[in-house]
Amino acid sequence: MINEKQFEKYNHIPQEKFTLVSNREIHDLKLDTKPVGYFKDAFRRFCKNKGSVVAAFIIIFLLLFAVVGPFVSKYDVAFNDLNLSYYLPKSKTFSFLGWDGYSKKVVSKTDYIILKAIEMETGENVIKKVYDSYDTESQQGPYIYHNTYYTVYLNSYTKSLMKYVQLTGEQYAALQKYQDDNELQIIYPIVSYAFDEGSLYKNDANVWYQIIDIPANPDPTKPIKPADRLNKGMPVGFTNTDSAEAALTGLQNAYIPYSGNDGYTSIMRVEENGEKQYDYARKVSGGNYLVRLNYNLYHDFLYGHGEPSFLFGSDKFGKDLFVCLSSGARFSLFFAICIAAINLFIGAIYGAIEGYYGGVADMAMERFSDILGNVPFMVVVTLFKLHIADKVGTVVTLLFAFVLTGWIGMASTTRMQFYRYKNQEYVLAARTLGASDRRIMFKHIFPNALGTLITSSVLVIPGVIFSESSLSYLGIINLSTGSTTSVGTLMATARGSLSTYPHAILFPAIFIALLMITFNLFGNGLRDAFNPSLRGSED
Amino acid sequence: MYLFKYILKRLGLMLITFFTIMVVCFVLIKLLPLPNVKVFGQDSNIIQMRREALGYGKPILEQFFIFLKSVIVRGDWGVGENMYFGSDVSEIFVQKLPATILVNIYSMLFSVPIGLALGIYAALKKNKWQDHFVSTGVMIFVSVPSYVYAFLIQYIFCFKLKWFPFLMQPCETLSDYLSWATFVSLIPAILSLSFGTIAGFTRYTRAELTEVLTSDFMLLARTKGLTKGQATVRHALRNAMVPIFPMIIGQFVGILSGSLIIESIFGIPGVGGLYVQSITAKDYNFFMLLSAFYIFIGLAAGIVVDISYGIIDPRIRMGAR
Amino acid sequence: MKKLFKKFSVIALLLAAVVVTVGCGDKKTKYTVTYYDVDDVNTVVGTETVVEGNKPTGLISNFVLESEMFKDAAMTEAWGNDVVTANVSIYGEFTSKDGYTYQSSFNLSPKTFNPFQYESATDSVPLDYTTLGLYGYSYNADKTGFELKPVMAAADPVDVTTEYAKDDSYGIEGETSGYAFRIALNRHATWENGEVINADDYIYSLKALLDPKFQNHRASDYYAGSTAIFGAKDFFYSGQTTYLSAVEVVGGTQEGYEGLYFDASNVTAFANLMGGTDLTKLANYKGYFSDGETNYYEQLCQYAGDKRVPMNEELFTIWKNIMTKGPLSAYWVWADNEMPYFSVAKTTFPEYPWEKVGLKKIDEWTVDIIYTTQLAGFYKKYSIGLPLVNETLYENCKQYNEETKVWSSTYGSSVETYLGYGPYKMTKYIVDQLMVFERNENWFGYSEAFADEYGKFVAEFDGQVHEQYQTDRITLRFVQEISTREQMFLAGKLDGFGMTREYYEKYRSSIRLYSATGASTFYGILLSDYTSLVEREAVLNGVTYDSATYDSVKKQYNKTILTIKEFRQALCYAIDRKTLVTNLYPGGSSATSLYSDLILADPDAGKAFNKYTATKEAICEFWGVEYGEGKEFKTLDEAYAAISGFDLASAKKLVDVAVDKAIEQGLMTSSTIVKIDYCAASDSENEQLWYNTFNNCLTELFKGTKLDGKFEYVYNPNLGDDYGDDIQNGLADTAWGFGWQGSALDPYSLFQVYVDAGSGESDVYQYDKWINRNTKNYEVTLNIDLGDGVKEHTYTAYTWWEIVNGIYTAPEGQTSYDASYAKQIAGVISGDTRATILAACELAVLRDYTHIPMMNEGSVSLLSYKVNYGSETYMFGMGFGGLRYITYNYTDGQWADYVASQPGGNLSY
Repeated sequence: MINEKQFEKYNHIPQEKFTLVSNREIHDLKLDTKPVGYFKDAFRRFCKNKGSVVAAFIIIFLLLFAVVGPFVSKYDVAFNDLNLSYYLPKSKTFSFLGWDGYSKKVVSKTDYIILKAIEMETGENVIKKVYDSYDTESQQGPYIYHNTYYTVYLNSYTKSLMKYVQLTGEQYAALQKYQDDNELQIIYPIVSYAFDEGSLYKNDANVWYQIIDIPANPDPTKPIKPADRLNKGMPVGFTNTDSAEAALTGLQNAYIPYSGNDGYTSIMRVEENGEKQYDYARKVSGGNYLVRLNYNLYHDFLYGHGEPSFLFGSDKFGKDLFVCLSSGARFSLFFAICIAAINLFIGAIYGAIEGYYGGVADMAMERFSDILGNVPFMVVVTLFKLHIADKVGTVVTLLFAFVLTGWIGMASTTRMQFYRYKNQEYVLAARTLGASDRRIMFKHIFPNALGTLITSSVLVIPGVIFSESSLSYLGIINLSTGSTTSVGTLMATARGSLSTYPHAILFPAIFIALLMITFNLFGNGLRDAFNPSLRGSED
Repeated sequence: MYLFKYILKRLGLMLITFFTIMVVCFVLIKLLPLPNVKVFGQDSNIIQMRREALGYGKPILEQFFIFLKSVIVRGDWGVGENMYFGSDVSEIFVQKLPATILVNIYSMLFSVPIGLALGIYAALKKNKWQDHFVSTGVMIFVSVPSYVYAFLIQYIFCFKLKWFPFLMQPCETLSDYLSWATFVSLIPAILSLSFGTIAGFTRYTRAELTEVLTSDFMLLARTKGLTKGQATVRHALRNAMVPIFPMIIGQFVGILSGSLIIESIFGIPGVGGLYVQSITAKDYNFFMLLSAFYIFIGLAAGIVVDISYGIIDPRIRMGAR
Repeated sequence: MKKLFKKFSVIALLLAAVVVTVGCGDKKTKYTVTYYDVDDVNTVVGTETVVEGNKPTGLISNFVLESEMFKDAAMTEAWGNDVVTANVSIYGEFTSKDGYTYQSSFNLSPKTFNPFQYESATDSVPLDYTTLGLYGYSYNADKTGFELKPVMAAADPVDVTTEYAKDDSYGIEGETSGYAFRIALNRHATWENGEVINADDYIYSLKALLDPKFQNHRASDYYAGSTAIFGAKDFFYSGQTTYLSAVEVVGGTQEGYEGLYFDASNVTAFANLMGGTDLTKLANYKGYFSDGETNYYEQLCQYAGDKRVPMNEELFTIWKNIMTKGPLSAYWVWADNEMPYFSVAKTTFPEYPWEKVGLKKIDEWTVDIIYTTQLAGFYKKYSIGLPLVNETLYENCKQYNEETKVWSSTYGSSVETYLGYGPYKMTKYIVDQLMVFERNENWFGYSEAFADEYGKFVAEFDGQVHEQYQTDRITLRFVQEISTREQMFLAGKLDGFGMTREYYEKYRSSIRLYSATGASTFYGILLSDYTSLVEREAVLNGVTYDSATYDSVKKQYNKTILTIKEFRQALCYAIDRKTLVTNLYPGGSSATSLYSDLILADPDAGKAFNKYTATKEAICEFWGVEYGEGKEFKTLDEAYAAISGFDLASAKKLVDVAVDKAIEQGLMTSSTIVKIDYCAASDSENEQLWYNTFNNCLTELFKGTKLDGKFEYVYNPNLGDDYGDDIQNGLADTAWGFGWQGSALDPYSLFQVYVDAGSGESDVYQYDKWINRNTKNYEVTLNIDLGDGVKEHTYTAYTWWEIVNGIYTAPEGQTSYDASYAKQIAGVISGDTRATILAACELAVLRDYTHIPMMNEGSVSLLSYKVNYGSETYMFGMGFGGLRYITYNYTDGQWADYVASQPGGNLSY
């Protein structure tokens, strides 16, 4: 039994009195590297996965494209010009790859002659190459109709180069002055078809030569001779059996002879020998002038930033797709990220409670999400549009509509993950050690579920853009107002011209495909990175 | 015994949920205002009087009970007002259902096995060139809208190569539907529908399987001496099935709803567009029948999925604490 | 894991089988008749589905059963009297029927082709092939125009007005002509199944159409408008209950409120004060509906339309407080017995016997029709028509829903539930997939008796003689996508292809391109009513309008400049219609007046309204174009041809004039910003496009004017389905692209939509309803011959409309103008005089610059090499000749070979 005093003696034994029994040298040094936290480790493991790193860079590139795009392009989102619709993508740097605004097209003999005639009149290149041609014959009662079809490499910027434009007196004078200063022939002599009420070529400024024309609604008293119909659109003096080359040699112009009141004072004239032969404009009501002009040069005269050229081509309204896609991407990404975040937040919490507590709570909450989930989304959107669209604007309405039923998907994923991990051994162990429900949920189960949650929430982003596109295709929503547009709307609009002008859908589709691929790889990378069970295992 | 009690409870709950959703749908669709566009030379009172006769003037709940009585007592879902005027709503729906079911079943039988096989193959060859090849291929198909490759398929196979007719063979009787000519005419539509499903299943199976392959019990199985193949089949696949199985059930519901775009491109007189049309045309009878049908199938599928968890992974007791 | 799959795939098949078998259990079972070629017994030539109890037709897609050799032994008893009662096989010899098939398509699923209920163009496709009117269009002798010839009738209508004008039982006492007509029926006319069509069929059909229990949609064709049959409306409404304004039912005063209901969409008290009877649409006047403390507007608006409630104490006190304590007390001296002005009453229309309706059977082949409005000249045959349904079939298609007590009919929903009487009959109808029509052998037109009318004709494309109705069979496939339609057309599976603008660019110079201009014109509506504008302006500036205190000069934004005519005129001149139309609506043309060039002012002479000099003068004045000595243009025609509908120079001057006037009238200051809305029914890609184009034009307009940089054009596409009412009630500053699908041969009755702002129970069509064109400053003086020599006549535009339609009843004591005198006009007045009146009235409407003409619709389509149209000119009523005059270059077999011979197996156009 040690009494007080003895205890006192043994209480302060100096350390030097102790010596190690074994004589081995112990080399473990104090760890001087910083401890590797959960997130630092996750980042390290993320960088190891090559695929997701590449994906991360692509995502950054896409975000940059969305932010910087509008400042790079010479057009803004609001720009539109119906005369410039459906021009193909053209880029100076990659033109050798076929990104040159040309496309392979099959044209009939009449169109081939029109296109060649533009080259003759303006000297611009319209047909770069003729691949091949084939002849056809068809029976029209007693008559045989011959035609030839050419496969050509066609320049979309000059295939309908000439346009009719109406100018006021000052604009007409200014254009003539610009024309003289730069020695450019922009205005060409006016053609008689412009005023022939019935003519099918009334609105087409490219036909400058005399043709056999069947008016749209001909005068019933003058019956159409069968020969006329068979030769519709052929140059005067030629029939459908003659070859295009022959017809092209003998074109006679249909310019209106000089009348003296076309107000044309510019020195640039088509006639070589100087004396005035043709009228270059026609007076219209209110002192305005109808002129026939080279629209690309006129575009340069109007905006001053050179002839029209669209990197991603132009759409039906003549808007520049590059700038629309980038500003649309900016809007769609922002919109989708908000929705994904809100859905993740609500869904995770709802799913966690539901999955963890189970029993009555799970049953009730599951039923509630069943009811809400089964309410037809379309009716909800229509109702929102009707009642709150004018108060709060279509964008926020759509946000409500997506979020109202969006979180249920996340909730059920979380619930399933919780069911999976709830009875795992380590959770049971934590519970026996007396951890509170909240701690178990957010310290133990949640990190495990985090991997799948992040993957699915990251995938929500392209998913939202997709459903936005199908909704605008069905005509239920339309996110683009005058100055903003969204990727979904671009794709819905491009759907109408899928078979005639596929370029309109090409770039938005590439953008979404890239988005989908990169977000998925990025999501996989994130999941592996954040998966605590993988910590330290190097595959 | 536990499972039986659980199923009974779930069925009871399902009926209550189904009923509440029906009420919610009925009220929502009745809130949408009915259009009354004036046509020159036509008396717009006729429209008002017909709506008056149909009882649209009564309070919504009263209308709901009338609707309920006519459905339960006489099984009569009413007659099309703005769609297929005068024809019995259920008759039109049942007449159009076989086309959708047929094309979806063919496409499911074609695409689910391929999807699973590709998913498993990609998971096993994780991070090798096959995996990357399959994943990017899948990504392209998932991200390209269905109407783009539907149009391409129609352009190449029906227009250029002329292997298949453009549209589905017109069918009247059951024998028409199951005839060989109809199957051939459906192949382009089946292809278009399957791309999406194959891509979805592959991605999902690969994701689940890779996660399962890295878990501890696989290590245990290998140490017990099972070969890699045996371990994968017996343990990994079974465990990965937990999330995959609801996708298959989801596919069932998909069978009955059909896809609006594919059916309109390939001329399939299915029910794909019916639901959307019933809302835009505000045809109450059609809307209620379709809502009832799809929601009932959806809820039933939900129960089957929950029960299946228990079967596949004994450790998961649905609803247990 | 494999076990699982087997189990679930079984369930999937089970589920599908159950649903599919349920699908086939409809009422009558259908059997398949399988045809075998007698020479090669195991190849199936074709199958035919025949409904139990019918005979097989032997018509299979490309073969005709020439002679039936024998039926398989087991089927003899089932074969009975040639009627199918089980699946049957028939062996026979077949010849390939290489006839002519016209392949067409439809892209909207038809709602119904019941002649009493059809609505859309697709609904009427089956009716166009299988039915005919009493009188029908056909080419005149030299094919320069059309004329109306008897078809189901045997001869022209005979005027028997005097017989029914003896007393007032038909409301035409003392009339002499134009009201009652005797129609001799075509005795050869039969139904598809050969049953004769006689007077009883027509009597039964009109009675079934007007049957009040059915509320048939097309009933109003025969009791409203210029072809209203006497008594038809009363018979249609007999026994119907509806809610009318209580003032009409109960009179102006009634103690208490029993039997009265409150319906917020029908309150007559404020009709002239706020210009509307629908409270829900008078949101601008919200401030009036308060009693000083609380505002009841929202609460009252709940009880609108179908949600009306019986009048009760609470509502009574609410109205009392509003009318006595609130701002309204200044306009109304309240008396307790005036509740009828605030409520509606339930009314049941009196029973009306069928015998009193104006359709009389004279004998088995003659009927008399008595109209309520006078029909004269061309309009006799143009307007006269009767509905026709098969009695036995229609009777057993009737359905009754005990719950809703509403009758409906399945007539016209399938081959079995429909019988036609035209040149073709429907042989196959698969919902949303296929319609097939084949030649109706029983049609009277194919018989020798009508050989001259329906036999030979000279086709324009080759000047040769051809047979009419060459087409043997018409197939219509349901194709929704335009890209699929184009591919089928190039593969020779379709014979026509209607094009949108993208495809038009591709096939623009094809010789098979046909373009047709439409009859209807689309115009813009500009709001010019000060009260509506100032209300909206107040809301825009964040203030609730109060007429006493509101002062628009100090406000930041302005809308009331729209009340200045010059401003509206500037907007009209500044729109570049040509670029919009040429780039987006191929076949269409820019409009410079309210009527398109296709509208005929004198159908007999076939003269278009815009060809009259009076019309040209009106349009030149509207566009500010002078002609004559020293002016811009020498002659009227030259000036008219120079009108392009786009005059930026004048528009800019007008803007400055308008701004000065607005400042002068204290509407705005030189620094106020004009902010007006572009309103549309719903948001769509096309709406976007129109908005972009107008925004460009207006920004261009205001450059260099007093509003440079001080103008905003807001995009507001939320008008919703009842956009018509919203525009009329002044809720839309500018609304573009609206028009009426009026009749192209009767511009006079269509003129009602521009002048009739009247109330009463008839629908009000005038968009700028706030302008009453029956007042002094809309008087038009014309020096014309109204049947009593050339004299000067001065009437308001509204009255001129009544006169030119012969429905003018002069007020009592109007000595200078005799009532009966007006009635003769419709029969006597010449086409030119009517056109002159219409032209002058059109100018009176246009001069307000509230209707801004925009565009005439048009369509472009391709015709396959297989067929040729009867005529190359598009004529109203005849189109390009229709199916009757279509001729064929290839039979079906030859066409298949021709297409196969093309490069790549596809055609090029």
